[in-house]
Amino acid sequence: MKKLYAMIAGFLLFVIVVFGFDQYLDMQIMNNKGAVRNHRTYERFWSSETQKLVMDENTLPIFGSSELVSLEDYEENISSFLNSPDMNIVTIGGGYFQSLSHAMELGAISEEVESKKVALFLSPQWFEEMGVSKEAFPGRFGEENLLEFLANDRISDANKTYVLDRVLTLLEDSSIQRRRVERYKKAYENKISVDGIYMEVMHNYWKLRGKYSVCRQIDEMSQNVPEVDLKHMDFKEMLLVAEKQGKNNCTNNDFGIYDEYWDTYVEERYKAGEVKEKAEFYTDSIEYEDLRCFLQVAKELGIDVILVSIPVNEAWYIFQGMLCDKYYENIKMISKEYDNVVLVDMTKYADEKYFHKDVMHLGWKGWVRVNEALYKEFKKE
Amino acid sequence: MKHYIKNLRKNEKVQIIVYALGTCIICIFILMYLLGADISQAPTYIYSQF
Repeated sequence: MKKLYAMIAGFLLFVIVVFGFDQYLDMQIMNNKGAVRNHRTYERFWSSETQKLVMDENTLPIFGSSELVSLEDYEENISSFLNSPDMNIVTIGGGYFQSLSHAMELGAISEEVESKKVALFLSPQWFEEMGVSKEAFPGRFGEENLLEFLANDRISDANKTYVLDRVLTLLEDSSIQRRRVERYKKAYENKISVDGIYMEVMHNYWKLRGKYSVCRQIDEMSQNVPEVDLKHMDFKEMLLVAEKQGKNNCTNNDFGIYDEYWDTYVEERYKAGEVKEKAEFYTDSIEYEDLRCFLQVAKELGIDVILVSIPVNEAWYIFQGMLCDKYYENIKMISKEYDNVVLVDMTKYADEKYFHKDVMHLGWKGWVRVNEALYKEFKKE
Repeated sequence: MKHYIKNLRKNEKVQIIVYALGTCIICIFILMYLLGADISQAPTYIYSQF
């Protein structure tokens, strides 16, 4: 009996230690707010607790994919920075992070989005027929986000069920993750059960693990994040700087693609010649439903979405016989279905040289234009 | 409770403290292992691509 009492006391002591450890992690993240906010790794993207700790009333969360990851050197590419006294950003997403992952994360962090605004960068490549691929999704899936999403009472059952079913479909080839999500689903349907306790334990575990993973990266984070004055920034002047940077980086082709990318990925295909038969791409995709889910979740949470429609590098895509006009039209139509959505339509710059840096990612001029539009929309009452 | 603890012999008190601390330390080790372990088991073949 004495041993049992001792073990219970030991376990209570352990709970106190964990609580203290959790507070310590919070403190570490809070003390390095700027650095953590600008650090772009999957571990941070997966940790909704971390996002909540680093946001303030001037923070605009930006959901997107690979265009968000390359945090360019400030001196090299001034246009990719949004860090000002009256506005800062926290980016969420890398390659293959798409509407479904973002819907979960939005549901997870919404309570701490003080500005009640978020931005979603849409890439046409998301809208392949099957949407996000089954091969990529398991490696991008954050369980903490799913569990926080499910715990959010303001999200409807219809959206929660849609997300759970989609996640289970996408985890078909990842049995260990899938088994856990199946248990979360059972727990969601019946909270007072063994699975309910399991979900609660796992929820706390993922939260602690997420913060711990971020804290382990603090030493590698850049502590000197440059600050700009967006309020007084001369964006026309910035466009001239961007034009110069673009010219310097693209010297071996007429498509506005930077030299190294051209040599590695594009030149071979260019030599094969222009594709004469043109066809519309990205017209039918399950991603449209995932996008609608994201927008509905935002609406339920009272969040305004700045939907940024990023075009492809039109000159190159037409050369490849790929047209995206129907896709651009679809996005316009969807944005009109929701009164909490403002469309920042960048498709008019699809053929602007140096808007992109390669065939799809935002480049020098693209970032200037997007940053200007984001700042204006963020500051709009 | 106070009375119970008071009545324990010294070596019994030491034994309880050792057990309690042992339990706590084992739990901490398990937690630290789990925090660092790859329990997600997600396929990683596209992981490295941003």
